[in-house]
Amino acid sequence: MAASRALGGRGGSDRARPVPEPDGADTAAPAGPASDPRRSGIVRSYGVAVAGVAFGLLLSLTLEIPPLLIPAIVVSAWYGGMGPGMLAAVLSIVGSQIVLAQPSYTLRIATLDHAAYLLVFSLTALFVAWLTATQRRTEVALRRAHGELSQRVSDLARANERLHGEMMGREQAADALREAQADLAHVTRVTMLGEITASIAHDVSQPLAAVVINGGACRRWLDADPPNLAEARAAAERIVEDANRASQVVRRVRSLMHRQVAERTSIDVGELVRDTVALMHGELARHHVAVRTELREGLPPVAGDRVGLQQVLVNLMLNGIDAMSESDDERRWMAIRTLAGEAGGVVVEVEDAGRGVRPEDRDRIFEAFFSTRPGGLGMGLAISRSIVETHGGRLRAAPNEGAGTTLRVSLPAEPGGGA
Amino acid sequence: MTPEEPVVYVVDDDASVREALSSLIRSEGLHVETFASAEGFRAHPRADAPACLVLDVQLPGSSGMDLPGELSASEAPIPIIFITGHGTIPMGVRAMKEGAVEFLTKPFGDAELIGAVRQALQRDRAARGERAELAEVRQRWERLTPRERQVLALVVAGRMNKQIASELGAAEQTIKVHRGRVMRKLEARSVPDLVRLVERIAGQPWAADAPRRAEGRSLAGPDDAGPGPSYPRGRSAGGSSD
Ligand SMILES: Nc1ncnc2c1ncn2[C@@H]1O[C@H](COP(=O)(O)OP(=O)(O)OP(=O)(O)O)[C@@H](O)[C@H]1O
Ligand SMILES: [Mg+2]
Repeated sequence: MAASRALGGRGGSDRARPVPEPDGADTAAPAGPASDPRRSGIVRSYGVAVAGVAFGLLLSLTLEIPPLLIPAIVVSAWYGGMGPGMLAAVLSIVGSQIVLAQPSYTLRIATLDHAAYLLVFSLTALFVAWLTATQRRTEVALRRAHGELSQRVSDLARANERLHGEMMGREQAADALREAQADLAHVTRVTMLGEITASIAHDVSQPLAAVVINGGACRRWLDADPPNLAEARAAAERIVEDANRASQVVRRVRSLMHRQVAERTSIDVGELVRDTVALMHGELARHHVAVRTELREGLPPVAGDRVGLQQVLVNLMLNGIDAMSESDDERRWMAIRTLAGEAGGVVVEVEDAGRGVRPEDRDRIFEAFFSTRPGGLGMGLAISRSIVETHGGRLRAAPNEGAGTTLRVSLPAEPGGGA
Repeated sequence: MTPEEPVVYVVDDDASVREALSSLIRSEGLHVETFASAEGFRAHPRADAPACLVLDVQLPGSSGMDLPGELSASEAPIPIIFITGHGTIPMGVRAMKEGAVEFLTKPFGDAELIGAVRQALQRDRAARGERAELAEVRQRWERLTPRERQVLALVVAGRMNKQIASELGAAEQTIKVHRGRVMRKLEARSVPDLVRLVERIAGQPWAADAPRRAEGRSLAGPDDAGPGPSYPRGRSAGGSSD
């Protein structure tokens, strides 16, 4: 910016005005009373040439030093360009011949010596005029190029600034979106937990009841006469086991309840399935749904958010249970499989024997708020798909050969993990 | 009857609750048999001994809820102690109707359960005694001929031999002989004995031709045996779950 302002100084600070042409065609002309600034510029340039030479001649005459004409030519050529420069050269040659050479005030060339001098002087004057004007033109062209360049640089800088701003905005929007998605995932997770609360409560109250009963039994075995220590110890050991079982249930629920930041960890998908089936155990029993797990050994781990993926599995299982709500008891089964996927990835399949998806709904079940379930929110599959996709995976539904539907979660291999 | 060792049956699908219950009841010196399902309990032959059932009403599968009904309709119903996760009142009321002794909501104290078990066994012991007595009375009753049953009806109605003879169109002497046979077959020593016996069998399906109550005269004896084999209602109702 500073450079461009300095350069534009001579032509005014307004960038729209072109840099002055030195050869008189477009000489710099400060806005004056003249109606045509270009013409007044030309007049001024030639004026400078004439005045410069006259001043040079006058000085040479009074001080008796001839070379002062050369600076006059240089100034004229520099200031006015080729035309005024040449004029100054010619005036200098003629002027010096008339005013300075002996005999004075004639054009007659007295001696051969003088003729040689005149020739050399003339050539020098013309050359100096040409050189200066050319140099001046080059410099102006360079300056103009420089001006354009810095203009472009500043334009680019501004464009860059704008893009940066836009990028920041977009990043903020993406952050807000992520946040909103996390909130939604949390809300639907809590809703989903609400649905299975009764069975979770049962899962906790069973071991707690066992703890209380075992405690009473333990005391009675100790109070017996003689105390039965073996039985008392067995009861105490069962208390520890049952308490652990209860806290396991609580841990599973709490991990789903918490609104935690999605944390990427290395996940053993088989273990995730086992854990989720344990969480859903009560709900499956309550709806008389038999579940079979087929877990492939030696699958690679996947990288991801464990809570999110667990939420996906719970959603798919809840949907499967729901799809079988009108089935006879012997048609209520579900299979959960882990398989090797493409390119070292892992696939989890949740298969049910339920009513299936109507062909016309097949494209819509992943839409938010699409639900055929009374009281259904229609968020389960939408959220599940977005969670799977943030893991770089895919969630698809396919009808079974027989009755029911299979939901397929494909997850890519953990980067850097064994294939 | 021989005082057989009582048995407590436990039906609960949760293995740890089952084991805990078993341990607690055994600590009282009682014999326990546990089952993971209602089906398992049904398939198991029951001992001829005082017994009660500790039943988790939240058993998966519909059969858990059918068990009380089935039991109370059976030849030898046994008292049931219901245990549940959340004691809803309608369920409790139904459980009471089907002969629950106690309705316990998890978690319950050991003393509560032991108390309920003791009470249930006590009741079953009484019910078994009654059933045995009734069976014996039935045996005696079935020895009577139709003619003897007619005579018995008139005797407990307070008729004299002469009146009975004229009513049945028979000789008074013959009625005397019938009456003596009735007394002997029913092992009764007096008319009040007979009255008590008739009252005992009244309403039994196998005694449709037993005499009806005599009007204007109480048939209840001083040592009335009380109601039949149905169980007295439990003290704590379903609403006990606070
Ligand atoms: N396994 C399945 N079998 C048959 N239909 C299914 C199955 N899974 C999903 N659907 C259909 O897709 C719809 C959308 O499922 P989604 O889980 O998104 O919502 P929802 O279960 O209705 O409600 P919620 O938001 O509470 O989960 C369901 O209403 C149902 O019609
Ligand atoms: Mg759903």
